[in-house]
Amino acid sequence: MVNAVATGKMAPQQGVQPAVLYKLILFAILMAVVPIGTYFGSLNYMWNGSTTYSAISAVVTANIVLVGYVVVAFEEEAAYNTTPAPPLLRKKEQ
Amino acid sequence: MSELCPPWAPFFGFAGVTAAMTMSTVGAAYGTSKAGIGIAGLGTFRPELIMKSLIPVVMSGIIAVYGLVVAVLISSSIGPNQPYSLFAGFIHLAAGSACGFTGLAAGYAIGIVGDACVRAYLNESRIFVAMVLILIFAEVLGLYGLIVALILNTSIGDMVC
Repeated sequence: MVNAVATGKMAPQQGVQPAVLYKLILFAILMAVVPIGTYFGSLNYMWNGSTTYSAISAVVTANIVLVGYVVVAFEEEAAYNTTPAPPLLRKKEQ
Repeated sequence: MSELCPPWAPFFGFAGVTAAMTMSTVGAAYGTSKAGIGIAGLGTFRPELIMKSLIPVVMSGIIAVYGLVVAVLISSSIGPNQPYSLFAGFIHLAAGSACGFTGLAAGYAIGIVGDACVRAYLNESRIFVAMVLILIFAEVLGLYGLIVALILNTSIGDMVC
């Protein structure tokens, strides 16, 4: 009968929200994998072995991941400001 | 081995690889830790601002990525079966050091700016745009080192022994 969300155990105001953690883990993995993956992937398939151009591509994709993180952070703050506060728990039993 | 390609030439090349990777990582570690102190302070009062205030940490990560890219770039042209000239060794040392020490500088700047601005963001939300601008200028310092490393690397040409 006790709703975990209503009692505040999973409310955004307390503790860790799982969605935030998943986003952070996703961006950590992206930041680790995308630049070096782009370097090696574009080395042979896009630039015919020119290491300079593939290094530049790796830098560009790393900055794209950064811009993506900034966009996600702004969206999350906007969502936080527009969601209404969770309803207060009212004790029904007397 | 000839005079132009002595057997101890790869020492300088690998020293460049090490300088690029380790020095930029030291800068990124300082940036992450110093900004993390400020974020921990901000998080106790306004936890909803934590995602936005993690931007200095992500930018410090990019500084380490710059060092990684230069290290991989240099080490891919050194091999046991390829001729490696002393000239190329010196160039790789210069390229790795340029990227590494500029990464150290950039990480230092990102750390101090991130810490101070994140603490100020707690009280004044309009400081966010100024923080991002300052962080971009700090990160571009590391990018300059990477550009110099790339330009140096292309001037090796063919290794003549």
